[in-house]
Formats: sequence, C-alpha cells, structure tokens
Amino acid sequence: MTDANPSGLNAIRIDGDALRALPEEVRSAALVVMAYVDGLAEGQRRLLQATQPPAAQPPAAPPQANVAGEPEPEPEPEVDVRAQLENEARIQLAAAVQSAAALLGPANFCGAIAEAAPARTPITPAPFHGREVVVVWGPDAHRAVRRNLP
Amino acid sequence: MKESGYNTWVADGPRWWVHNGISGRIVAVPAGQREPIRLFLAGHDDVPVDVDLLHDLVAAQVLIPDAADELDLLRLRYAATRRNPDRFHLTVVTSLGCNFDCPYCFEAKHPSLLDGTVQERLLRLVDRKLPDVRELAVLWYGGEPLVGLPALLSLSDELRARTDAAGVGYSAGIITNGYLLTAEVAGQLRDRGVTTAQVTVDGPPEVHDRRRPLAGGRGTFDTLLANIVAVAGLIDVTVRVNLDRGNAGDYPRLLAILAAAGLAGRVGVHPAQVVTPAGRAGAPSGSYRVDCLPRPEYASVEQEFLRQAEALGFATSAPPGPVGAPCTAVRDNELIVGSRGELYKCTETVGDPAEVVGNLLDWPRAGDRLMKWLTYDPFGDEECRSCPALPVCMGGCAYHAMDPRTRDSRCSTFRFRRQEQVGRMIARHAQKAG
Repeated sequence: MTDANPSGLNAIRIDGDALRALPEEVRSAALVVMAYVDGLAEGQRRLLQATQPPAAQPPAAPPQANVAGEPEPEPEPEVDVRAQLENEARIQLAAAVQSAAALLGPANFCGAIAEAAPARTPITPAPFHGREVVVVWGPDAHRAVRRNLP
Repeated sequence: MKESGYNTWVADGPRWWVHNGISGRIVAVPAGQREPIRLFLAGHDDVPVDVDLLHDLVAAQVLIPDAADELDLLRLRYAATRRNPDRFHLTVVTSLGCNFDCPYCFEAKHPSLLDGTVQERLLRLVDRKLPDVRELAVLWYGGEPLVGLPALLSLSDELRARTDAAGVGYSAGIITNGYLLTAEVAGQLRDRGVTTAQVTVDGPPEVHDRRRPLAGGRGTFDTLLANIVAVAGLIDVTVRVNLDRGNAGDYPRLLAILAAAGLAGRVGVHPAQVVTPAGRAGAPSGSYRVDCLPRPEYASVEQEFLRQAEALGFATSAPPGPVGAPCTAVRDNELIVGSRGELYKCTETVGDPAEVVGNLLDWPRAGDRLMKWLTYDPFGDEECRSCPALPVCMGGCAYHAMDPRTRDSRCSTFRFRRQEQVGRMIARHAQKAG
C-alpha cells in the first residue's frame, strides 16, 4: 500500500504475512535502502556536531578590586590564533559538502567510452533532504521511516 | 587542529606544494615552515609559524578541526550529488549497429535503429521531466550514433524546441568512431546544439587499422584523420586513444602524426584503458586475447602520454578535482536509452540484456537491477575508505567494482600517481599564471 505522510515521504508498507511473501531480492534491496538512510542521518548528525562552535564558556569571574590604590593596566587583548583557526576550519568544513564538481554523463574512467562533455558546474546549493525510502516493512514501518529521515 | 587525510605534499626546491583532495586547492609552503607547522599542530604555541600561512592552509582545508570526520563529509557529498534533481541527463543510443568491427568492443551489437515509437516515448519522458529541471543534457551514443543520424537530427530538433519553450538549458555531445563525421555532418550537429565530439584513434595507421577496422575489415585511419582535420573548427573534438599491451608503445607516433596534421592546439587528446570483462556473451571483447594493462601500470603510461601530448601543444584532460557521485550509473536523474527503448544505467552495459534496468514503455517502473546502481556505496569498501584518492574518485567505476574480474580497474589513476598528477596541476597553474 502506498502511503504519504506530511513530510512528503512515500513509503510502501508491507507488514506481517505480506512480508513473508516478498522475494528475497526485494527484502535485500529494502535493507540496503534502510542502511543507506541510516548512514545519511548519522553522517549529517556527526558533521553538524563537528561544525558547531564549542559551547560558550561561562563568563570569567570579575576581577578583584584593587584595594591598594592605582588600578592595574588592562592586559593587551591576546588573539587566540588556535581558536580562530579552529573556527575558520569549521566553517570551511561545513561549506565543503557543497563544493565539489557535479558532473553529468559518463566519467573519464568509463570503459571504451569516456569524458564527453563533462559539464563541471557547481552543485546546486539546495540543502540535501532525504526522500529516499521506497520499501519498508514491519509492525512499525512508517515510524521507522520517519525516524531514519535526516 | 590536524592535517587532512587527503593532503599530497610535493617537494619543489625551496618550498613544498600541498594539495588537498577535498577542496582541490594547492598551497605553497616554504620549506622552513613545514616543521613549525607540525609542531604547532602537536600543540606547541611557541614556534615561529607563519600565521597567515596557517590561515591559507585552513582555507584550503589542508588543516581541519580536530573533531572533523572527513569520511562523513565525503559521504554527504556523494549523497548530495547522487541526487541531481534539477538536471536531467540522457545518453541516447541512436543505433546499436556499428560500421566498425573493433576486436575489444564490449557491446553485443546488432543492427537496431531508434525507431519512431521509441522516439515518441523518449519525448514523453522528457516532457514529464522538463517542468522540474533547469538543464537537459544529452549524449549521443551507440553502437555508432551517426549510423542513426536521421533519428539524432530529428530528436535534437524536438528536444531543442521543447527546452526552448520550457526555458530549460540544453547541451549535447557525441561519442562517435568518427568515420561518418564529415564537415557537413559536423555542421548539422553543431546547428543542433552538439558542441563536443569524442573520436577514438588507437595509434598510427597500421596499428589503428588493426584495432578499429570497418565491418568489412578495411582500414579507417586515413578517413578519420581527414575528418578530424575538417571538423576541428566546427565542433570541439577530443581524440581518445584506447591503450592495452597491444598498442601502449605506439601512441608517440600517433601524437606526432596528429601534430604534423596541424591538430595541436585544435583538438584535445587523452588516453583510456581497455578493460575487457572476459566472456560477455556475444561481444567481441569476450574473445579479445590481448593483455589489458593492470591499473597501476596504466596509470604510469597515462602520465607519460599526457606529458608528451602537452609538450606537443595538445590540450589534455585536467588532473582530477574533487567530485561527487562520479557517473551516470550511480546518479538518479540520469538514464541511458537503448535503441529499442530499453534502459541502462552504465554505458558499459549497453547491449547486455542482463543489465537492462527498465523500458521507456513503462518507466519509471523498474526492478532491483536499478537498485544495485542507486544503492551502490563506495563507503562500504574498506580500500576506498582508506584511500587518499577518494575525494577525486568517489569509488570510481561501480560496474568494475561489482565484478571481481575487473575490480582492480575501478580506481582513479590518482590513487597510483598522486605526486605526478599534483605536479601536473602545479605546472598548469603556473602556465596559466605566467
């Protein structure tokens, strides 16, 4: 049965006895698809973690008042090169997902043909969203699909 | 901070060059800075490291955050490019029949032209796609596509009319043996948006004629050379040279002949590796007995070919840059249409009934043969996961990877010749800058 949920996902739910009637190839293919979506979700989660700046530190305690008289001179603000670089690197990493060349057609490694008009244009910067699963099964199939969407 | 796992360092006198596979960028590093950089990354702050250089290395992704997992990034890049929703690519076989009889051809060919019914179905498919895409790209393919020239021309007219009306971009190229590519035909193609042509020449006359004769056995070299000279100004021509042990030593003479014909600077040249899966039913390659080159050996031949071609003034293919999902086979908005309307995902499978993934008559209904391509995952391959070439190869040829007989030829040659290829990038960069 084809079912559409509000996220636009289309899934064919196959439960119970119907599952047993499925050919092995279909079951295998569905497993591969589920594993693929799992991988995407996990990959996105981990990439997001790696590209988030570290949690803000609590503000340092206010300096003690200098009761002896003259205020001490303000220390020169130090540039934390390492932190700056880390921050820049995180931004680069996040952008890198969308910065490869997206080719069209066969590739230069193709057997007896090759490299015809490979249009090297940038990837469309639309965010990736997963509308992947074609076939799932089991008593909680629909929920499993939602859970696995990035 | 840490170093990317995809850096290639190349020594060059008083400096190093470092290339990053994920960004495709190259940075010059003074030799005296390499050790301070290493120490800085090891946590030492009191080293004489050039801070501006560090920023450059971060911008080129040579240096990355400690927490970064570059495999995750590549996995996402692959997934994002596997989906190509606003570009639709069709490879169309206008004639599975061919006027050549090449002994290493992998296609089980039979005379079959794209007929009116298939053309109509194909246009119906395009009509369904056009509202959702901003670009339609077509590659004319065979057999020999120019044997099916009338279908190619009429379909081109229809496709261009439709894309014009829909405000969708259109581009086209052709892979042809070149025998029928006269100036008149090239003009007809150009007028229909075909801007590139790949023609294969396998060596000097006696070598080429042995490997790529007409179906009656007659040689084709002289006709091809005359055609290439005649059409080079009308259409962008790339000459491909298929190499195996039978002709790997002969390409220098071919390059000299092409140069003497005035083609340096007018056409591109590039080598390719012959890989013949043994025993494809009905295909000439099933009984081809000449040894194919192992991939690492071919990688070496390729670099020498390119060096000689560039020295003569030929344009060559650029060294590999960062890519996503690498070919039609593993991308979901691309199809290969056979001359009878049968559909494939890999150009190397054309003509093989066991590899048909569906038919224009009832597309998008398809079976598990399509799934094997769209769920192919190079990240499941331990060798790929640990390979420094992964960002520019992304698993390479899925078809070869799936067959134990051809698995070793799935890789980009970058895997075996990184230093040399980065050296070529630097030289090209210097040439452009200078």
